[in-house]
Amino acid sequence: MTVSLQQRVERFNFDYADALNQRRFAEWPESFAADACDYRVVSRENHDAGLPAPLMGCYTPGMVKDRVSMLIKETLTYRQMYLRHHITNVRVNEEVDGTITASANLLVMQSDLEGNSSIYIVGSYDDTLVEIDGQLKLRRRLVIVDSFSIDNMLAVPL
Amino acid sequence: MTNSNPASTPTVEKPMTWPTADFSRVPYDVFTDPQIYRLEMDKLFRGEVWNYLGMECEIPAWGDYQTTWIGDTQIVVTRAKDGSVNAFENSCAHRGARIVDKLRGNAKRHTCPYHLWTYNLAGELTGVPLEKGHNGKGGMPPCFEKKDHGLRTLRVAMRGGLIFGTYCDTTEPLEDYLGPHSVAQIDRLLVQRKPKVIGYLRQKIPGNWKLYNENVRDPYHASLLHLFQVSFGIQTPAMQGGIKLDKDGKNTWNHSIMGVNDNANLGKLSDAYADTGKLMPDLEMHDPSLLKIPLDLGDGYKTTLLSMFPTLIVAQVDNTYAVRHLRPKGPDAVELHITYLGFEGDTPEQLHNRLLAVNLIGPSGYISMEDGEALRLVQEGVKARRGDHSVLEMGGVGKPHDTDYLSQEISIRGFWQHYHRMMGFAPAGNMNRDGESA
Repeated sequence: MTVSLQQRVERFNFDYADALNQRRFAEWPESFAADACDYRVVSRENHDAGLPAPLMGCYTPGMVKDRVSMLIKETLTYRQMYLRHHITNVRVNEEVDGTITASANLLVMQSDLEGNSSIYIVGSYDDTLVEIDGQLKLRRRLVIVDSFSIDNMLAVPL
Repeated sequence: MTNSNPASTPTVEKPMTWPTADFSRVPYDVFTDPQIYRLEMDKLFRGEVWNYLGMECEIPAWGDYQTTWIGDTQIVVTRAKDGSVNAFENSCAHRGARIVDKLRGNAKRHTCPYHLWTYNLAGELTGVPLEKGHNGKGGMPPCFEKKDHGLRTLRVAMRGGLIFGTYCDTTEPLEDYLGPHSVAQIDRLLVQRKPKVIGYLRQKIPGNWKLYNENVRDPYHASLLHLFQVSFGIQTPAMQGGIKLDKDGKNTWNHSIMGVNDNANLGKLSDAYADTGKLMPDLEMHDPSLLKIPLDLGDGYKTTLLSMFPTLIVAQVDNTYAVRHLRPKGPDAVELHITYLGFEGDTPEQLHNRLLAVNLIGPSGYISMEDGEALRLVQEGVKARRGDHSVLEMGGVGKPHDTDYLSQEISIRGFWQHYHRMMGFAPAGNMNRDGESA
């Protein structure tokens, strides 16, 4: 069976989400290219107005690791919620220079420790991927958050 | 029978009281009672206060406008042709509809979408479609005067590019209201360089708006809740610092100063953490560039929080500069609107550093995300404690005063002293600290 690039990117996104949702935070940095990467969560408000400040901005692989180290080492007091990413409408394009670009819709539902669920985040991914040793890695992931009035806190990356 | 409180003698709910004259006890009902919230909206926010409305740099040109909130009320702030700034309620004089539905933009007049009543930039009614009817029929009665039907406007004053509005004719002049420490800090943070907005951050916090006011006047928690801040020496109990209050106790300037012995002192702190096991002085970052940005004001202040009654904070946390504004949304919710600042003439490297440093603040900030969580936990915790009080004794009791130490809650008591006066509650202090009649 030939696996299309579309299918590979979708599987990549599902694995990415699973690491976050199952709180295997140490795996999250492995989704990014180890030599150089850029991960930003920006509000729709700032993105549309051309304002550069992100909610969360990791501009090197070290900064990506730090975002989850603070969770793993329990430096941060944050709300323990069960999170579920729903990644849909994945669109993949391979450019002439071999670069892979992709976008997707993102919905993250949250459930508290007493079993109450609600919508946590509505947004989208805007990605550039590279293939390193046969594996897809994120060179750049821009998360644009429509629900930018953040429900209490954004501790776990999206 | 082991039950000492049989059902035949139900306990009566205690009325809200302020047991101590130094406000070292705060009734939890002020955070939960819908009637108190209503009174705040009607009395406090429309009383002798200067409400923050925005920054001049957000509306530089003729017709530029933005919307903001004073409590539950949405306000339009707009720049007139002569450069002056006007503010009016975003609700039509006709049938009450919201007029401006965008957050910000530019318009030379504002027209209500419903019946096209049109207002100038000062909020005066200039046009009523079919005012004289059609073919001599219909129309407004002859006694209808457009000048009597303008929008509800506010008196506006500005300092250091910050725009304030008041509903009340008797509110004292803005500089007197802010006090000398606020004025000096506004000048330090916002006047010696010309600020520009480089982003907005919004955070919905499930807690009462006054809990946030307590939080920013509480340097005691800063090095306990925010372990990132302690671990990386941004604010620690080992640092020098203190608070300064205005004449009413309502506005606080809380600051910490970087010292050469901070790291050595941090090592000696384990006892101060009282066996919490939470102190992590050996924590390291994979990429510490966030912590290596030089303080660009170069005056040694590591954190300066300027908290102004009732809903404004101008904050420097490490190398971040931001205006935080509170939008109360009922007794048990508040939205924090953060205006994140850079400055005119920033180099690309300085801008990059600001986009790096933003990771400290806001809803994803290594430091400040935890404040939302603390407020949520307090709101949950006090819900059922009707008639009971919090305890504010850290740093000493008695009349609020300035300090040269950070482990204190005196500035929180200053806030309550002024809040109590503004709300017109019965005199405080008719009980001892345990809430029994004295």
